[in-house]
Amino acid sequence: MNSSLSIEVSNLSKKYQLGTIGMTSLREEMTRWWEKKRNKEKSLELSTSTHFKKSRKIESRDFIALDNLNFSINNGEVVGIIGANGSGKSTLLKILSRITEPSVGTAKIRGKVASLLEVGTGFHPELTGRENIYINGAILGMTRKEVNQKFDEIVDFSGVENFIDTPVKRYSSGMTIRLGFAVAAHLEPDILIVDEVLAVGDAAFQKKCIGKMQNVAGSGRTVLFVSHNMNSVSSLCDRGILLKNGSIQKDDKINNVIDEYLSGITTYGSKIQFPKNERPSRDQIASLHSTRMVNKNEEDISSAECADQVGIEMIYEIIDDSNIPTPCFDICTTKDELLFMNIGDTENLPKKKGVYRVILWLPENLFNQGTYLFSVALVTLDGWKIHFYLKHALALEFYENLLKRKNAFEEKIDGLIKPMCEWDYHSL
Amino acid sequence: MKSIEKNKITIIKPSTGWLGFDFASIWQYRDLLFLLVKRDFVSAYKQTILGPAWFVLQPLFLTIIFTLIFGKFAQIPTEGLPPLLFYNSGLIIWSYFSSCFSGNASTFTTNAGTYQKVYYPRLINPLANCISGLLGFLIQLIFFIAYFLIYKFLLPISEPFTITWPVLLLPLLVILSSLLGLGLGLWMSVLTAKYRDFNQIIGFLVQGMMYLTPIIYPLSEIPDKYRFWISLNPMAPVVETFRFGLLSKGSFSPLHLLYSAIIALLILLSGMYLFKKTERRVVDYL
Repeated sequence: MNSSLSIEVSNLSKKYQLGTIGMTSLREEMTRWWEKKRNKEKSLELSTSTHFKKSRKIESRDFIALDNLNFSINNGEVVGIIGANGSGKSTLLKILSRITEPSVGTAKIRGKVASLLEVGTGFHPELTGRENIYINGAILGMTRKEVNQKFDEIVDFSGVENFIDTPVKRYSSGMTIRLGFAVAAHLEPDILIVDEVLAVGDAAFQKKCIGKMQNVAGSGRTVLFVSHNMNSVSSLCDRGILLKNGSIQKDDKINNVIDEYLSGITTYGSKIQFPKNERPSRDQIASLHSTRMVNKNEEDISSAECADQVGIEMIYEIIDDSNIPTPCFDICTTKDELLFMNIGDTENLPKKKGVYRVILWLPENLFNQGTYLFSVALVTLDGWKIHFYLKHALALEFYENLLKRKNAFEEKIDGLIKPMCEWDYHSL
Repeated sequence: MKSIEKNKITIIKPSTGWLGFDFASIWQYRDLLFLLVKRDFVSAYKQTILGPAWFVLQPLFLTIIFTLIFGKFAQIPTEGLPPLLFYNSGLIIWSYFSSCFSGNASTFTTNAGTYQKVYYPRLINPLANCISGLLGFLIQLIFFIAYFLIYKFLLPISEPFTITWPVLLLPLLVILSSLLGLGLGLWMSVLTAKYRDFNQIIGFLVQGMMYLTPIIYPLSEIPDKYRFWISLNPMAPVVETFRFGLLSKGSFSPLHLLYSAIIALLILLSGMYLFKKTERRVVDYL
């Protein structure tokens, strides 16, 4: 294993047996065992095969959770693992944290691993917060000495000082979670594996957790982070791995991976390209070749941070120059509330036959969190002749980096849009 | 030390065949072992009025019940010993064994929640169980000695009894009971993890085994033709020797003890093998 690598996964697969375990499966096991005895050669085939699909031994009652994963992670990388439910994220984390073993393949891990698949694991309700800090710390792999050194910090971070000698069963669920996270946050592993734990607790505590994770990530440790919350994934991670049905669909910079993931789950796309004979046109005066959402480098995107500049690109063709078509865009919410429309400037407007590309740049810091729908049209303003109009042609998801907010409010701010405004305080 | 750990590479792959136990990693988690023992001990009698007194009261009550039922009604002879001493001596070593056995039988099912979320060597739990059982045993032994002294000097009876030299084997007897209990417990934990039916069976099994052990009767009372079968029970020589050492009644046969030790080791090693095999996959079907 190369010394700059922290994790190296090769040909990793995991299958689960479906169905209940009981007398029927005991019988099945006997049958399997018997068959295995009889067909020793065939079962050898299974163990040498690195890829399940090639093996005929796979039975319909097996479920393949991970299918031949290969990737490696460098020391100090912060990697987000994303994917829909059932895509294999949790199985992967469980294998990397040695909770279950793979069916085929290997994973090599350098250094001490701490995995937070849950906080407060092993808390005993009858014991006090103090006693549980020690046990939980030990379960997570800390020695008593390490816990002793960090005890005050842990208690301080959890904010339950006053209840530290009270049995945990008297704690509120929030307090239990805070205490659990506090212990976990003070581990000093070489590799930290985190699953969704940030989805718990109130907003203020979540922010504290993200801050803590950013410290860990910044201190040169390798972090694997699984979450459905794209805001926290994009603010924490540099790299993303998108899993789909147990395979890696994309392994790239985090924002590209998030875009791919979001474009896969929204019914609207953020890019349309029409084949030659399907180009929309009502009157053969002008037609639409393609349209897409772009970032400021004019690259494809399917999501953007509220603070990013985004544009709508349209490539259209003037077939008959008897008209002077003008591009128009309108933008509405997913509930089809029109926010505004925009009509192309006449200055530099193409008038001759030919294929043209136009981008409408939208102001930054205008959109709120959520999805917006974009319609594209080409209209000759004189007489309002519509050459084509594609309603809701594109969708774009905006997400907000909460850490960029200038106030302590943590939730989504209501409103169709969220323009950046200036505050001017004066003392009188 | 730190830098060695930092560069330690863990290889995760499907396990095949016999895998030696990773005792190094158990040593690494020794603090967890210690804390779990403490937890078992501390939490056992939380929110009780009598607290740790239950460690002593529980076997005492059982001894009294045995004295009434088997001594007074059934009139099973106790080799001339005061019934309380006779039953209590058998019970304390037996209950240590049975706590190792039945306490570990549900290792995987009780700790399922933790096992699904965190990795640590699973053998830590059964080991902690055996060690915390040992503490209870020691407390009970101290109280046994107290009863012994009361009977010996305050309530003199015709039949004399005294401590004999095989009492020196006591640590060995305790280790034997714990290894045997641990081995059987590991076997059961593997079975209960997969088939919950065994949860139902374990109670009968322990109780049945108790009646096959000379606790409520002395081995000498068993007719010769059955004695061989009773002595197949590896716990029988343990209990007999324990009683012989403490009360000079019972029997002491080194050969039988050796037999027990061999059986205990066989059960323990096979149990550990099965446990090891199970622990890596068990979360998939817990």
